[in-house]
Amino acid sequence: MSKHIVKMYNKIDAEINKASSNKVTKNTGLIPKRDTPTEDSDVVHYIKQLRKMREDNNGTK
Amino acid sequence: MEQSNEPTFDAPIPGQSLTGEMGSKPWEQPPKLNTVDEVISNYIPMFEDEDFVSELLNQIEAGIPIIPIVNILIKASVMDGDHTIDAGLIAAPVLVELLVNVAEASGVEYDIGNKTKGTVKPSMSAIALALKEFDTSDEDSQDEPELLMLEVEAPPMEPSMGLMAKRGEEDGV
Repeated sequence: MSKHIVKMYNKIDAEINKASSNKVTKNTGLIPKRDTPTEDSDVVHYIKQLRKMREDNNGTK
Repeated sequence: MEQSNEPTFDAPIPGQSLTGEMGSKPWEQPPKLNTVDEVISNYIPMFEDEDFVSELLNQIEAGIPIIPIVNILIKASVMDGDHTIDAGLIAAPVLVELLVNVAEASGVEYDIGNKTKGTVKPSMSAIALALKEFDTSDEDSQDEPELLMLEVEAPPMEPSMGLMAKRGEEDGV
């Protein structure tokens, strides 16, 4: 199962890195464009928060 | 390493897992935690236990990658019937990140275990196989001159005397 965890982790890691490099343009229309990220999934949100916490801790050291 | 040829009898009998009453095992019951949020919040109190954290840091410091540790945590919870393996798999990256945070906060060097290392060490079986091939090729190269020396003329065939023998053969022609 470790292999699956590695896959999941790498996928989410790539997703977060991609999201941070791409600027998300705000959709002004009523209907959102296809494949536009509207909201992070729970897991991505948690990971982002944890990384932010880590960066803050490293910054204060 | 020498392998014993004696059969071991301490392993489970094939199909043994099916001999219990259905639903008697915790993982055969409906999971206690259904959502990923619940699963993650189930693990977080673990990191408040000092003994658990110190043991965890010892493992990480010993060089065990974080992903196998998370794997064990998830499997243990699945075995206890806390959540399904799918929910555990989805929550796994968060747990990895939590462990990374704990390791960094404690100043312990860690390895996540998600990257394949550049230099792949050959396994013991591969080394043994290569050595065996090397030995046999060495023996073959030594045997070749002897084989050349042993080439002699084949003895003349004796005529077969069987019922199914060809006529010419029977006559010795």
